[in-house]
Amino acid sequence: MKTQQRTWTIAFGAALVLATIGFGVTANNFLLQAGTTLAMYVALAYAWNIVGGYMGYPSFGTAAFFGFGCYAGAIAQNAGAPMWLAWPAAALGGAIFSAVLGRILLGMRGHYFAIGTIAVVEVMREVSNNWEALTAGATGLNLPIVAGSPREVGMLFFFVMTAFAGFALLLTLLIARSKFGFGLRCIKQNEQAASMVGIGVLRYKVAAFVVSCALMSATGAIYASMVAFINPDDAFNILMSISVPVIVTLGGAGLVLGPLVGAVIYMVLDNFVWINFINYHSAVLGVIIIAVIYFIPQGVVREFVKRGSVLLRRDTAKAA
Amino acid sequence: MLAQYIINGLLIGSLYACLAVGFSLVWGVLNIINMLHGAFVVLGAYIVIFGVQSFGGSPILWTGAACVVLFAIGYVIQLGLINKVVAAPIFITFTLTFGMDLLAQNLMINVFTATPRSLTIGYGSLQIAGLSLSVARLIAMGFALLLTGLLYWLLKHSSIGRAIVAVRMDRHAATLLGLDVPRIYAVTFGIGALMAAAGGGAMAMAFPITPVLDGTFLGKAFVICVLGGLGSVPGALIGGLVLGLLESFGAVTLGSQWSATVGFVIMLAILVFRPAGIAGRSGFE
Amino acid sequence: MIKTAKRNCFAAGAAVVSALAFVTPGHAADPIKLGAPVALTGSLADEGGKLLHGYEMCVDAVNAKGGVKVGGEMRKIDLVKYDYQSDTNKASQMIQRMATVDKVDFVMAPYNSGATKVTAVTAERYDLPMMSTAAATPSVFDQHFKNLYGILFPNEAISDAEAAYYKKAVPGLKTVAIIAMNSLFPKAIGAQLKKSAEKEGLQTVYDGLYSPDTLDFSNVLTEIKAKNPDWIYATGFIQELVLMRKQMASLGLNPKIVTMNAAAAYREYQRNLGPLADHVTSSAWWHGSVNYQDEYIFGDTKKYDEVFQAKYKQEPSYLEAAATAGCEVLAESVEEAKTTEHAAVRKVLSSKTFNTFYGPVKFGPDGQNKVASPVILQIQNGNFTVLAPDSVKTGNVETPLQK
Repeated sequence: MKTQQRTWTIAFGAALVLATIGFGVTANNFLLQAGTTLAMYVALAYAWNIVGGYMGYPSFGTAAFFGFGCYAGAIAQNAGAPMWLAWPAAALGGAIFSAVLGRILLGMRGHYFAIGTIAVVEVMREVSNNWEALTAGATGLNLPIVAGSPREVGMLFFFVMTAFAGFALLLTLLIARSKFGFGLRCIKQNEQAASMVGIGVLRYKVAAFVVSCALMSATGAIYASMVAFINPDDAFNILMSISVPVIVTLGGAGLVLGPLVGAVIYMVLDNFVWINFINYHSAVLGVIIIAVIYFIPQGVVREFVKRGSVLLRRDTAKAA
Repeated sequence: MLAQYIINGLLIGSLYACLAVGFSLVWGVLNIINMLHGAFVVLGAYIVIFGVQSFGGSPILWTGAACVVLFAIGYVIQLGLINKVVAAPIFITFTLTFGMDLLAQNLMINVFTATPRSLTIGYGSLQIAGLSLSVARLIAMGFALLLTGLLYWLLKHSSIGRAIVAVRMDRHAATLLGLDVPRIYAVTFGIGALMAAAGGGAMAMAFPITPVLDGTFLGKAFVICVLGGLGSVPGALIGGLVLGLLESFGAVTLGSQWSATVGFVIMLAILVFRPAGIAGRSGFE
Repeated sequence: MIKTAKRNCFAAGAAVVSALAFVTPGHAADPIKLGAPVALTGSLADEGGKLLHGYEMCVDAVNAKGGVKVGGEMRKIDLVKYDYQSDTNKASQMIQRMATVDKVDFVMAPYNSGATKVTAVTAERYDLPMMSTAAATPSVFDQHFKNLYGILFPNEAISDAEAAYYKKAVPGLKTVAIIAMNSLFPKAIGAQLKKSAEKEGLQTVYDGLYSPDTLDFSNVLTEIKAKNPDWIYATGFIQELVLMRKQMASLGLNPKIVTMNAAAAYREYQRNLGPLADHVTSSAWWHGSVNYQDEYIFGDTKKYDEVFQAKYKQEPSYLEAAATAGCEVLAESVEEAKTTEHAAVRKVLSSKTFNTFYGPVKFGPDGQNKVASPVILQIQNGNFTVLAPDSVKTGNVETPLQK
């Protein structure tokens, strides 16, 4: 049974990679950019899933670390670093920053943790708005523009972003199957019990937080290089902090496939709605979210698995 | 000047308190973070503005009308939609109310347009002992005190209020005792919406209103509830006044561009060191 | 016999068809596609809608006279618009869509400066001329793109004109207090004014910033009141400046001059304040009572104003007019270049001086219009009075601020 599962996983992974490459070489520039945005949200969703899904800490801080990464990457590049170096540098910066912040935030639970993370986003935005010497404030920062035709640059960032999203997916797979992931799930179920069982709860929490935020920062740095200009409002956009958790919940939190499925569904819906309902697109999106919460509150993947297994049982019952 | 700063802080603080009382009630009792709250406030404000501009009459009267309308809306929403998920994890209710907020905001932009609207009634200001007190904000202060007092009386002395408290203490026991829990939840949510409408009325007297403000109002409500604490009635009032004073002094000492940040930083500090807030009771996470 | 008959018929038929080809008018030429990302929803919806009205005025007027004359044929303008929901990332995607799927010939810039800079990067890659009609801050043009043009002249022309005018027109004007919103344009123009005031020998007694979505100005205003300035210069958008004016009144702050840029140039500002709006001054890049001739469309400013009011039931502000002018100079450039080919059109755009109902337009080397024609306005009895320049003034400044 396990070998069968592993074969399916590898086959699925290979299919995904081939589909992505195929898309990347054949799609037109507009679809490439849409795909890059999708990959960006996939990466952010996986990052969030570690803390919000597996560990069960509802974070709304996505925008804070994404924005941190935007600025860290921009400052690094403006200081002369090439893109390829700026991105890991931003990830490292995000890791250090979140390690410090994490020790403060992770002492809070539930609603309070959620609100604390929202506060972090607001504070970071105002700090970057006012700390002109570092961030140029409201004027924003230019980044060096990547030379090349729209197609070349589009493909470059598409492959970079999808590769990074793939990396986030693999990392999640590793975590899910490791002792670390097990520890996180224990913490989600019952933090006190987990600590009694011998899991170093604070260490685990900070580690998960650091990994999550480093991923988000790297994503931000890549985005900044792509758009070549950032300002506080775009980098620290609270809507991103809200839509990422919605995406993961939609797909299924605490699962390996949840973030991917959620991001795809959300992006498809968003684009479909936006094109066809110009004046009412956010209303329609809101209705879709409400409908999902009602009919598929555990996320699409779990619903699928549930129905799939029901069908399986019915088939085997028929056969018997 | 110091006295004027304190007065300024208290006046804006009471406006803030009006915003937060309803939010605090719903959060404290139903354990729901209602993302729609800001939209309720804005809707209440629009009812007052359009009422006064189209039909005349006093804004206070129209605020009363807005309260009735919003109570009905809140009741129906809770009964019809939120009750189904009231025991679910935070994210579910959060996401649900977020989706509803998207819907509400879009509808409001389409109906009211994004252009700012104000009541042009000039209430003027009182000049007492060299200090200026804006009358509109004094009225808001009156609202805040009234709402808090009303809520206190409601929860302590009315039967519906005692039922609400009972449900909060132990939902299952309340059901066993024969209380219609879904209806009580609906009434609570309705009251929260009613108070949001009152807050909206106060806002309409002081600010130009656009649909986009719902995010700002919600953000303030968050900070206030944390500052003041959940689980106690004066929590929102205290939180609002404290926030007003903090922002006031933040503006003066650090510059106005930092005043909102001061509020959020203090909020973070409270979350770390004293999560129950100034007047709250622990156990509400 | 029959063969000859067939041949004759055929010949006759061919003759008729060829004759018809000369007589009947040709089929409709392909339209010129003008891409326009507009903020129809989200926080910028109010201003975004104004830009759309401005574009529509131009497109309708040009199409009414048959379209743009490109070489031999008349081509109508097709406005390809998408709502970018006040979100920069979506604006960027929109430009990609317009360039690759809709294959637009030219594109208008989004309303906000941040989105303008980001979309300009993409437009430059496509070598697609982009016309900004709402950004006046020079930092928007600092990436030196050859495809980015801006109709609004730089902020400093506005602040210089204001400082010079008030210094002359208001006797005893010595001190100024500046309170600016911490957002790209308001902050920039606030900083500009400090420099302009210095040039005129005015002393800046207060220079502060406030964050967007501030709900209370009473402390800032209390501080300013203590300094007793002759002139208060406030920047921001409608919502904040309406609130600020209300709080000024309740605090009893009545300096000789109060300037609120740019909100006090919009009718919505006046409507939100009623009598409190009186005596508030502002400045604009254009106003309906200026007097310019325009041979391409509308004939003159007055006609533009009339057509706009008939269509949209309210007076146009500089935002709508600049949006119309931006589309207009694109159309004129295509006509002069006799092609929609980008390099040729850019050549005309960069060298020609356009005479429009909006005023003269001549783009400088960084793409921004350098012809400065600032208009200083004051709200008097609920209406906008033009204080300067002398050639179009309709009244004199009234002080102090209404109580």
